[in-house]
Amino acid sequence: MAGEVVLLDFWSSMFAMRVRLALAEKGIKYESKEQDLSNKSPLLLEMNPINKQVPVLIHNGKPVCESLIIVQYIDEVWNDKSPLLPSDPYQRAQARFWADFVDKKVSVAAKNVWSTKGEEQEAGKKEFLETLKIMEGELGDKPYFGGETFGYVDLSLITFYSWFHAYEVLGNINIEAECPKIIAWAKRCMQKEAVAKTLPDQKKVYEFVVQLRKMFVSE
Amino acid sequence: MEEVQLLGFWPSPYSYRVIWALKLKGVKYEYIEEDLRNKSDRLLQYNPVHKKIPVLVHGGKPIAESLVILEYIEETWPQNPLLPKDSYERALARFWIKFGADKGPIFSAFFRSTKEELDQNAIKEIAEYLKILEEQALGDKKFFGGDNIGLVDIAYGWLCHWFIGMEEMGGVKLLVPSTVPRLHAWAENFKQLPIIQENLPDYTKLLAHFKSLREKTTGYDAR
Repeated sequence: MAGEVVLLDFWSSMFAMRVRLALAEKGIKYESKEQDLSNKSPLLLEMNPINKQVPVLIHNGKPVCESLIIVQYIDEVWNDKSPLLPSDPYQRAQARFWADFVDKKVSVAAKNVWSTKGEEQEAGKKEFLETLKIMEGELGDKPYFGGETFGYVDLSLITFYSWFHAYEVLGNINIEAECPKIIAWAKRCMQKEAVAKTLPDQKKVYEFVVQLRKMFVSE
Repeated sequence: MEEVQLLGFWPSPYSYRVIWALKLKGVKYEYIEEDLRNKSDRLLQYNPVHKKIPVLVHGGKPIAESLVILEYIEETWPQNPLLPKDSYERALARFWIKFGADKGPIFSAFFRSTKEELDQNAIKEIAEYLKILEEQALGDKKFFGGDNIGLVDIAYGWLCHWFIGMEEMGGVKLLVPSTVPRLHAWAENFKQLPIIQENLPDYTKLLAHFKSLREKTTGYDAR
């Protein structure tokens, strides 16, 4: 169970944040190696030759790639505390379904909010808010997607909260007005020490995204 | 024993992933054919978010998304395990399953490619993709799961039948011994397993379905 844990990381990646959050929840000591994604290191290319992306968890020298796969791995290996996935198979299936929804729908629409303009951006904004409303429906009256405690689905979505200020300014949208329950849920999550410590400052992320947007959109 | 139902669509490879897993585990189920051009209240009730098949219904409770269903089947019916026991090996298996899931767009492009208008970019990307599968995922193993098939084989199983149909329609063969001999052998071995052979849609009907799909602008909804 113990052994060396290294994370190939990037401070503003909501996917890398998921892993940092899982490690924090479990109280696992690890070394974070910040990557330069514009000039990828030999280590990153060796550990993730297929996708060449962060996050990569290197446990005892062996790499695990893809944020949700890494989170499931962490949950299985460090299974003595803070379970992230439910134990009941049906509940686990629901958790996997919703985390998959975040990846397939929320994440894709969110990217269009900051990386496009004009009609494409309008469509992206509409889709993004719709996906958040669908998640609000799933949350219902529960404090967390996981029920009474923070879990896998909460973890998969909360990292996007650090990008909300960027989405709001660049997309000219008011997420709280459209999806108040999501904002209330996010603020509840931010009260958890692990979440507050893991998520970067929204203003810093905004400045980063402004620069990143220039690579996608000519204005 | 609680009832198991599978809402499916006969030409969908995603339906078949679930069928193969249920058959391998010896789970009795009722198959319900859904008409995706005229979605039933039942489908909309059981999968309101995506409105797609396959949906597995166990004791009245629905599970959607084929890969989520596969993990559920594996956990609920542990006989004949389809994932490795070791956590690291499981993470690797999941990685390769996801790798396949993320490549949808290049296959959609290939599907639309015609003899008259070959999509060279799609062809190149698929050739590269098949090479990666052969060299990195399969290696010298008989199946992705080792000596016996597992969830990774089930996830890629569509290559041995549906992709062959796409190749025939597009007039370009890519899953061939000259470039990917081990993957080609895998496809042959996989297809010859009785459980797979006995559970495939009729090839001629499938080709006809593909042809009619190509004539329309939208494909069928399945995942």
